Amino acid sequence: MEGRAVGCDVSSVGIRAAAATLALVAEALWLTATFEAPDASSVPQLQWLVALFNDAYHRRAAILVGAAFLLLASHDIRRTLGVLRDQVGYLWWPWVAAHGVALLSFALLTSIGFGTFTGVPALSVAWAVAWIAAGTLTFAFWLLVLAPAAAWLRVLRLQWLNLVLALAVSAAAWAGGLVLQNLWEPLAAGTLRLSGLILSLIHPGAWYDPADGLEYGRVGTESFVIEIYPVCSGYEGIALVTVFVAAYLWIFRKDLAFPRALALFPIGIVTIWLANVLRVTVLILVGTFTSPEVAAQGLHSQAGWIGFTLVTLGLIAISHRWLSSAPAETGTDSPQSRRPELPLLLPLIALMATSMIVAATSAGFSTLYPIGVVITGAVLWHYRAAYHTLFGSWSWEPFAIGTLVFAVWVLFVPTSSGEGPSTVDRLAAWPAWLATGWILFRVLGSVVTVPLAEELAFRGYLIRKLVAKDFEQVRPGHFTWFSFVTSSLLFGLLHQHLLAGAIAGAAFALALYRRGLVGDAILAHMTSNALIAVAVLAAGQWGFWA
Amino acid sequence: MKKYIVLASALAMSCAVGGASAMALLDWKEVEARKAKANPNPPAVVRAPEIDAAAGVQAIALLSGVLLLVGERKRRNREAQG
Repeated sequence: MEGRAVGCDVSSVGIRAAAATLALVAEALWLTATFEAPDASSVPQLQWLVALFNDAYHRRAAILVGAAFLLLASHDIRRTLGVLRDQVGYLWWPWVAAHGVALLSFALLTSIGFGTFTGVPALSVAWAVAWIAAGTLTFAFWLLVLAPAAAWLRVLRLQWLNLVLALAVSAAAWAGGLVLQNLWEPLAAGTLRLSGLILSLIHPGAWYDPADGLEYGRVGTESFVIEIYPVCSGYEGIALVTVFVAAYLWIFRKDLAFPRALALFPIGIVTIWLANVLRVTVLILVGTFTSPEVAAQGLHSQAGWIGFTLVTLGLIAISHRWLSSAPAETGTDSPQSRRPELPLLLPLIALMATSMIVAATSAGFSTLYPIGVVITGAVLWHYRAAYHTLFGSWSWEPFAIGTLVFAVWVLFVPTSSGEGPSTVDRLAAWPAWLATGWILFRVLGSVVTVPLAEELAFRGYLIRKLVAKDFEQVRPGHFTWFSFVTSSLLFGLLHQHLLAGAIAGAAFALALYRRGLVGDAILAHMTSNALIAVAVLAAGQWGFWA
Repeated sequence: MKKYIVLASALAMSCAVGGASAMALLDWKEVEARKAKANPNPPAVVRAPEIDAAAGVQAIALLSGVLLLVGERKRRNREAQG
């Protein structure tokens, strides 16, 4: 910790913070799973309070405030964390006991107020005061487990302006949303009419029904119709693009020319709305001419994200070309000519792009899976020279770690999820050579291209990038708690099964740390996926190939 | 520059994020009831929400990868310019 003598070293503070965070999440899950807020109609003045327990509004508000705060405080986050880590001789464990007592009190009061065990809710103003006090104390003691009160007060003094700004931005966002609800219907009507117009130019049987007076309209052909609700009006896309542009402007504020760069807001908003109109039109055309199943199952869930991705990539290209404050970069001798991050990140980008397209063209079965394998494989092949230094001498350890990860995966991932019976049914309907070819590509993708692409990005690049801005200055295998935990959690998020994915990510990181070789993480990942492929093919556990 | 970003972001986020979040406040049961009343025998149709949260992980991973590539390029450019 910056060479200072401290009572608690960085590692122990990091472990404590991670354990306390996990415990808090587990406690929240336990409370919400155990108790159900009662009908508070007998005490109408407390309805809002019990609604807070069950409804998701407080979680949305917390996410909004948290995200705004992190964005505003991002430039100063290291100093803030440094304040919290400064814990000379701090006795933290008594606060664990205090937190436990407060939590039990909160649970007891909840059970009394909600009538969980007696069946009779005991809601009153006195109960509400005690309930709020117990909840506040539970959280306050949790904060004191992490760091002393003096450190939290110093953080508050450092960050009070950002905190106030975050609360103001969040409140304005919420209020703005309520006011702008009135725009949903015109937006939905515009989407409906423009989609209908484009369709009528392509298909003579196209029609649309504005259904005036209702909350939805319809557009389609004689064989395929979709309903346009306000929720399909383009608002979600507009919100996502707005958040993206705000974050992008903030992250690259040193490289963009202001106020010109603010043009990205209107450009992004108009483009994503038009992309939604196009999505609705394509959905109807695919449903009419190609496959209603693909339109309803694959394209329907993916097209919004594909449109969002294309629009945001376009915005990045526009800002890079016309809105940059830096002079144009040209010449083969420029620093841009050597880019070691490309071989590490491009395979994963190719894998994600092809996975989205494959999912969009499928109806419960990834018919075009081999295309993803070929394209990702081509990118890996193109950069093959960069991978020679990743591997070392023979070692049994990566294979042992990979086997352990396989055991964890079998334990945690339900076999009924993912590609199940429809895969078997579809393959059975194909000619034998075609089904065999598809399975070969599925195994090749699972055992070769996916582990390579994911490990190069997570253990080759991200785990080092989370240590220092210039990742080349960080040797592979350099350990910090922050990069280890964050990269493992992000790996878990990518794999749908958060817990199993995070454990797998942590295990592959350990394979890397043993000898500082990314190749060991790749071999461990390949081993796990190979064993999963064996389980799928030998035992018929198709659910593992999610 | 910082004030431009904060002001524009706050304004735009107020309008857009809030709009999307507030959609949760609409009483969809009431909407469904009105729909059923107006058209008791609707034909089979597809309802297509814009964004399926479960399908978004890959898009966000892809976009994050591209942003990291752009960030590395700009960082090197800044370092080269001293």
